Amino acid sequence: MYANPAPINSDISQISTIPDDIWITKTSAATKPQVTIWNQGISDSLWPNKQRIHQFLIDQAAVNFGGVPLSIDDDIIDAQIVPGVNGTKNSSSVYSDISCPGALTTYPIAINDMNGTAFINGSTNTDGSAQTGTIVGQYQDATTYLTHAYRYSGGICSVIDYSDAVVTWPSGINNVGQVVGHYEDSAAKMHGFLLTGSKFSTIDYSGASATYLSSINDAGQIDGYANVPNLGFQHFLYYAGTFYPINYNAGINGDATVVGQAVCGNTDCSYEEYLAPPSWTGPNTAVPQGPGYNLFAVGIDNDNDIVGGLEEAGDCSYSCGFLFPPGSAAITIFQYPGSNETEVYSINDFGQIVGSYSVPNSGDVHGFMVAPPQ
Amino acid sequence: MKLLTPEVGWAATGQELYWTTDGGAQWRDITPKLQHKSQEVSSVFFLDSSTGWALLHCGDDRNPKIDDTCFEFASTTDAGQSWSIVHPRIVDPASSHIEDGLGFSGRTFLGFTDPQHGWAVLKINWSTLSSSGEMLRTVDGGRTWTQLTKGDLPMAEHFHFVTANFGWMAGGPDHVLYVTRDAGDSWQLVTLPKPSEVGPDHGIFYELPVFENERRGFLPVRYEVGPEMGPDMTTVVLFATGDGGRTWKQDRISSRLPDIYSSDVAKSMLIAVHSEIDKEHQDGSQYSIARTKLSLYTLGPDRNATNNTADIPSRGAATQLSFLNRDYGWVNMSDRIFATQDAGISWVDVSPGGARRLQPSIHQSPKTIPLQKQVGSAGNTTQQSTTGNNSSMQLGFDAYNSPTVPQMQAWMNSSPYYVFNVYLPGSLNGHKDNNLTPVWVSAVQTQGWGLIPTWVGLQSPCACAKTVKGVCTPYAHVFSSDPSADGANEADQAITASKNLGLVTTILYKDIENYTPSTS
Repeated sequence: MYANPAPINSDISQISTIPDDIWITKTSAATKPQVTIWNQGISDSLWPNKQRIHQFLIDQAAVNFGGVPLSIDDDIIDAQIVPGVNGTKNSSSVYSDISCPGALTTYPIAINDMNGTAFINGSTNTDGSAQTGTIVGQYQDATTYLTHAYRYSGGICSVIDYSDAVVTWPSGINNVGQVVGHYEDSAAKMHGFLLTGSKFSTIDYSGASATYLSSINDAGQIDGYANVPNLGFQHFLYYAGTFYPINYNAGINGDATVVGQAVCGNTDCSYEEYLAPPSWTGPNTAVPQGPGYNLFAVGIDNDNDIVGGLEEAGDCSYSCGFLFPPGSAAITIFQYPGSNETEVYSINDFGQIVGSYSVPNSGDVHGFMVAPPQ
Repeated sequence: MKLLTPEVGWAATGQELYWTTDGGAQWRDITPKLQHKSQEVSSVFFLDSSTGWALLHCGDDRNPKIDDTCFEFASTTDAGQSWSIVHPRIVDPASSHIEDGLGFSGRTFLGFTDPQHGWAVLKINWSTLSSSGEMLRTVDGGRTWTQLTKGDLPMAEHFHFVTANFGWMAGGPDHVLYVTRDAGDSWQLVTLPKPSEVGPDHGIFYELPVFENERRGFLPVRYEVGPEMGPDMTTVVLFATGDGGRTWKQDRISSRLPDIYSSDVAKSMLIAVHSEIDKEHQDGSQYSIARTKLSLYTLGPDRNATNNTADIPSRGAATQLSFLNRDYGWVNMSDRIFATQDAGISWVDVSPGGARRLQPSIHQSPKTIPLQKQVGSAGNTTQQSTTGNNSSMQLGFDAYNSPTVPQMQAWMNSSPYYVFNVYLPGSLNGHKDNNLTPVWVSAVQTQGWGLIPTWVGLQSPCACAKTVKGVCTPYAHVFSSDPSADGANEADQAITASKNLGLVTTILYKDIENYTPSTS
């Protein structure tokens, strides 16, 4: 059933045999699309089990991909459909450097789907460069050596330091423009923060000596972890004012699927965990891993592509990045050309991956984005 | 974007408005001073090289409780050196149904016939299946605006007024054409008989007519004529009128061009453009500078035709033309603007704001072969399969009509989408989707597309196909007093329709257009 939230709530959810799957049309402003199936004006406990499509933008004129402009509405699908066959997407990879002006080092930590104020389309920027999502991260000023949190949008780096903090670490951004991360106060205590517009709010896990927020999706669901005296590290999903215990945290997508790391024997390995209401718990599966690898999954997009970092005895002894598309037999490993230390932090729905790389024998660290299919 | 004279023109980038007096070599930022942080330049109209208007829309930083429309009209008589701005109160017809996502979308259209008489159309996010909005009119150069109350605006699209009473509107999901002869109070649908030499078509696109005076004008109509599995082709027919559009006759025909997205008429010359990304430079592992092949077709009143193709540095699509004559014009590639002075033999990038983007700190790395090591698959491209279970998280899109098979292939290659919605044929309140056939379904499924099969069918008697001034027009076909029997009957029809398309599926979606539950 395709319908608006009001008829779904008052009528469609009340009939004796409700439809198998629901396609919710709840459009958001094109400047803040909500690419998620949750928190769209109907209870999350209705149609919770891969039974939702959300139409999040309508009437987008002349959206151009591959030189073909179409007028479309945008949807995110987590429901039964008629599957395609043998389809593949080919992506050639292009690296773009990302560095804030005057920065010694720039770390791009998270990327969303917004090109300035618009959902990315397939056109290039006016200077011929690829459109990028809005990026948040940290950079170190080459003159003062001070570290700043930044937001990169439309070609401009803006400082977004929290005024009450000694240091601010952004680690996630959603399409609504909300940023999460953690900050250190003057007493050297770590707190989680949520930045909405220009307003910072502190989110601390009850009784924790330190709280870290990792990532936020468009439904406002945040994953993170906290250090609680006598209990150790607690992983959580923070949603609508409540902390739900989960097993892994690093990235979260619009389906509330989270990815993160665990220790498996002598190595680090990674899992994705499918959270669902009402308890926001669910099954998990392991990211495929080769022998002797340390695998750190950190980001997941709305197509369930997972990215992260990798250490092993060979070429990736420092670190490589990896990409794990859903349904693949194995991960794809990549290294920034000429570097021996590539770290990966985040992926958006257009396949844009951000990370950092070290310049061999110099110790300099630069940010990069590896571009999507064009 | 509009070229007003060979030297003077304007271009808007969303948040900024630029003006040139040297054919695009240099641009001046003439953006009216914005009152809101995320304000956008929504539409622009210039009558001549000095007098113009801009319609500004403040994005979503407004407070909907205080100001539920937030449009501002700016007018200038000195080419944008100074603006006067008015902020009229505009009633949002959807606000009585207060629900997120409904209401003005921010997309607008603007036009004037003289320094006094002007119109604005504000689009409303109402439904995927229709185009609706409000029309405003001014008779005092934009100082005061009146929301039209008499008529039922048939759609909210591009329009062009020839005189203070006589105007045209073209577009919408069905790409149709309407005319008004009472300043926009009422609109009549215009359809022209298809010339027999066009042959079978998949779709008809009416463009806005261009008038030389009140009586004499030209109307380009595009017919999609490509074979279902072959390349997309377009036949453009130019109709002419000598009696103010009351009768039209075929004047010229340009048959079976490569897919045309936009056309223009200038000095009685028909101009059409085709663009396609240059595949020579897309060799998988290597990303080179974005290039597009741009073909310009012209057809004069003497039936003389030209056809020039050039390679331009863009990865956009030719979505808009503005020509002064056969030789001289601009094309909007959606990422950049290019100008020609020789009918498309050569093009120069005249995009505004280019110099302003020197600041960005992202630049292309010279090294472009990144994936050094593959586990489990060979080659230096990433291949992502769409097969597997039929329920996994993906992005998709829906459109009123199904794109052609080649268009779907281009989007499978280049877009982040994996799923497309199809409206099953044969339903009441539905429409004919010419491309949607069993051959199309099979082809796009093989390309990798997942499909959402949707039945539009009967709607609630409380649903409004459109609302004008609070007056609800219900859908043509609504549920009867026995909705249960209606539903069962519709389900059977939907199953048959999906089988006829060759869809093997266990899921069908029923489209219920928005209604306000408390009114039922």
